Amino acid sequence: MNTLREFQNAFRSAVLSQPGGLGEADFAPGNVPFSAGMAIYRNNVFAKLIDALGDLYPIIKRLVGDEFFAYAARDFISAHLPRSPVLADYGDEFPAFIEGFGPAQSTPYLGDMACLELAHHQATHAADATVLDTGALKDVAASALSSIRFQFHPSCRLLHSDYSLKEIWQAHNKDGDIEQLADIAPGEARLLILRVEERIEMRELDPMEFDFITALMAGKILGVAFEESGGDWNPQEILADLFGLGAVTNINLSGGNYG
Amino acid sequence: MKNSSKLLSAAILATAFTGALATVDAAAEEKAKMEKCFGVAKAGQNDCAAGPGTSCAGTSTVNYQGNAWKLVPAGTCVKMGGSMTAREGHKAPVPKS
Repeated sequence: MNTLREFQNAFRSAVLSQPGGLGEADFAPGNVPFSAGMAIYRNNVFAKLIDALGDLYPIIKRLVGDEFFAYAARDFISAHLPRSPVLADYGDEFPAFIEGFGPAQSTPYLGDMACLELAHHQATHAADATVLDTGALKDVAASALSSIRFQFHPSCRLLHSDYSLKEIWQAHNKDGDIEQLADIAPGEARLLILRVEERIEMRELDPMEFDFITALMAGKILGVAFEESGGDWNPQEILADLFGLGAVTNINLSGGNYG
Repeated sequence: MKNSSKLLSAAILATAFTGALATVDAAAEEKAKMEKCFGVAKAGQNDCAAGPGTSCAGTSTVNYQGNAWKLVPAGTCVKMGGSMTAREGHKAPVPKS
């Protein structure tokens, strides 16, 4: 046992019950035997992280039930111990995990639903930003309009799914409405998720709006983004919502900033 | 994209942009007339929730949770039995006549 890193690695192996972990000989004798003490520690680590994942993914938990969730979470935690001391950062690999989790394959939308819950979580914890004062936009000349770039609020997330995520989310977000699930029509979901003041908004997007915002968020100028989304539909409603929800924090015009 | 359709899409964009700004102004005026009302939202229907055990919108677990609020038209909150500040418990609101 030479370095701190070696000690931590061996400690980690012991928590995960893996070979090469710390043992009796590595600790000074005490009232609690090593194996019992480590069992308590291990149980606390897993219980807390299962709770944390349950708080982050309440809809998944409700969809699969508490026992199944704890079982899946335990599997996940064994392979993904926290890398950051910030608990709010934990669990962002869970959507990919649950997507590929064998016993969960009968519910194919779990992975996408977990992505939606993660987007909610990240939007909740994203940095604050001053929302663009739309008064400044009135001064933009019509000829310059096509070449402005939008800067988006740090909480903005775009999500596309082959499942009716918003309806499934709503059915499971309210107690007793799970029966509604049978009535949910199959369909795709295109969502813009962001934090507005203290709440999370989910704005449903049609395919053109989705392509438009995807291009804008990729940093394309307004004219190009609009053309890439077809260029022949009316973007007034989505522009009004982007400004109204505070999704845009600034615009860049020929290198300069407005607002 | 051909130049003619490019011009057309630029024109659509310009009209939509101006229209969008007008919509936002109107909505901002409307919003100024709303107030946060605590203790009136049904479970899961809060606009936002404060306090331990909840994260945000739609997460209140009981009806009329006292620390969860909903946006209601200004002047109607206290009238319907709600509170302008977070309160304890989750008693059903008693409308004041």
